[in-house]
Amino acid sequence: MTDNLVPLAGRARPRASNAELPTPRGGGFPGAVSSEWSKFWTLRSTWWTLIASTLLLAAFTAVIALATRLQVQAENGQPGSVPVGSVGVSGLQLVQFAIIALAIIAVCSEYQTGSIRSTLQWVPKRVRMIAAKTTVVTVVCAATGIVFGLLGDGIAWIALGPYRSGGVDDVVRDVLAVTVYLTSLGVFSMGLGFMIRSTAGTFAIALLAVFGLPAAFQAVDSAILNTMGQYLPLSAGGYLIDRAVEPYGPGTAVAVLVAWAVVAVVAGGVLLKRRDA
Amino acid sequence: MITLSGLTKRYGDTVAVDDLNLEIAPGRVTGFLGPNGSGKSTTMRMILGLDSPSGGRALIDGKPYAALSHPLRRVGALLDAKSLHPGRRARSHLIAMARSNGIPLSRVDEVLEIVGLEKVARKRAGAFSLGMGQRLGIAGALLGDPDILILDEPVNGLDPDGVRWVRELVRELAGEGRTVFVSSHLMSEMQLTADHLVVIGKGKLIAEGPIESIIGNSSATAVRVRVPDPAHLDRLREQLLRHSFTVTAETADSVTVAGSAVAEIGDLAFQEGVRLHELRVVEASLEEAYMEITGASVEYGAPSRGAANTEAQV
Repeated sequence: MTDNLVPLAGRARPRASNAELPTPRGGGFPGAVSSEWSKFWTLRSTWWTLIASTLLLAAFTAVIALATRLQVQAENGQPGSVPVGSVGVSGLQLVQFAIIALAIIAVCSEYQTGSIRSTLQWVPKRVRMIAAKTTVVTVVCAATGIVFGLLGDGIAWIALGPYRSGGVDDVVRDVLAVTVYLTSLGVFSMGLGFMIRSTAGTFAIALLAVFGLPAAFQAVDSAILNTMGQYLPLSAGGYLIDRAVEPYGPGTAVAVLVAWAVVAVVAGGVLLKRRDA
Repeated sequence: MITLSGLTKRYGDTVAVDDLNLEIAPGRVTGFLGPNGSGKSTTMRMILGLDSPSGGRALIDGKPYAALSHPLRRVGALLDAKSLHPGRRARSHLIAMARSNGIPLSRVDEVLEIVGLEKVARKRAGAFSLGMGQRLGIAGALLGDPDILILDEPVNGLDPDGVRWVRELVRELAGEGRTVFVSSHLMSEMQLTADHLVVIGKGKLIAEGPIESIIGNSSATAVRVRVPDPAHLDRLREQLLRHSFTVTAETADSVTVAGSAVAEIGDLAFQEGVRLHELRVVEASLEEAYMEITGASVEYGAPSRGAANTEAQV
């Protein structure tokens, strides 16, 4: 059990005085972000989730793009008739779950393992801690969104060949929309994580809130609920990515998405401050 | 210096920590004792700002822990060796920890070497044995080279070599003028390690003081007097009782007297012309003193035979 250990007897002693460590600098909010960043990338689950979802996105988009092309060919469709984005964002249906999972694991795995007590010992100011985690999740989700957006549209661009329509400006718009949607989804899920704390519980609630509610609100015969359903994250993300103008345009969609993320993080932060670790 | 003033923690109707007032001073090892469920860990968590007190305050050099700008540079703590992510490598854990407080990363390898984990630094913490986890926790406590150390059961799971190493380390840290606050269930270990003791039971402070005085106050501490001449022995016993000493045991050539008043007993024997073959203090062990102090406040203890009998009579 202890075969690899060096015996403790006669070991070096700790430093005799504080004078030998340089005067404290660093730390603070940048230190908290740097620590969260380290923690995020030193877990295997992070890498597996990102690698698996990227491969899945690439494969799925390629299949959809080729199938679309074959169908257009079979129907003697015109060249330039399939918008790149319509195929490029199709894989999001799948990989948005990976973003939700990453964000939830970043919070809930700490509660599950008890390592949240270490985290709060290192960064006892709780607002600073949640701000640092939010920063890391935002950066990671945004970067992933850019990669997913480019990869999806890129594969669609190549695979659709002459049948594609749209230019670089369309791709840029798709990438921006995907990035905003996935980032808000991630930050929203992270906020839920701080509220609920258990991985399974948070995942269940996140899926219900993101995917269950919009369907339920549309299914009922109530104008008020139907309208409310249009302001849920999934609906807003859909309008943004599909370039809808009805019921509202991209500006409102971005505002709705940001609002959901902010509300979840603030609610999570309030509970984090009030509860014992 | 750690200062607790009126520190209280309630969970609903249960009072886990009840109005603790304490100063834990630098330059010595303060042992923190109490039965299971007596509130030791809750107290330590409140000092570190993990649990918020229902009343009172816990301050580190006059400030709450959460107000320290580089907390790991001031306070090193080992609370629960399991409070780390099992999927993260030991070294990565310490690197994330160092970054949070602006501690140079070179210090990470230094503390790994101090606790003897340098060869397993790249293993995941989940693969560690209890003892290795404990060493990693101690490495974390030392990382910021803090003036104050709070260690909850640091020798838990260590082999005898490791136990001795922790004892020497803790003594040395206190010797350097640091504040060391350490809890343990092992009385024999605490007797060797601590200078000062704090004993709590059911969340209340029940004894505090230098370890010698806590042991000295125990009724198990006694003076043994051996007198070869039976006539002398009778005379001495009479005098002892007259001077309101309590004789706790007798044999054909000795008496045992409660307390540690060797000088008075020696003087008495001299006045009476009693010839002595032995006059010495038989010290209680810390365990005996502790059992006596905490007897009434064991939360989950099995009833002793005496208690069972009393109940039967009622």
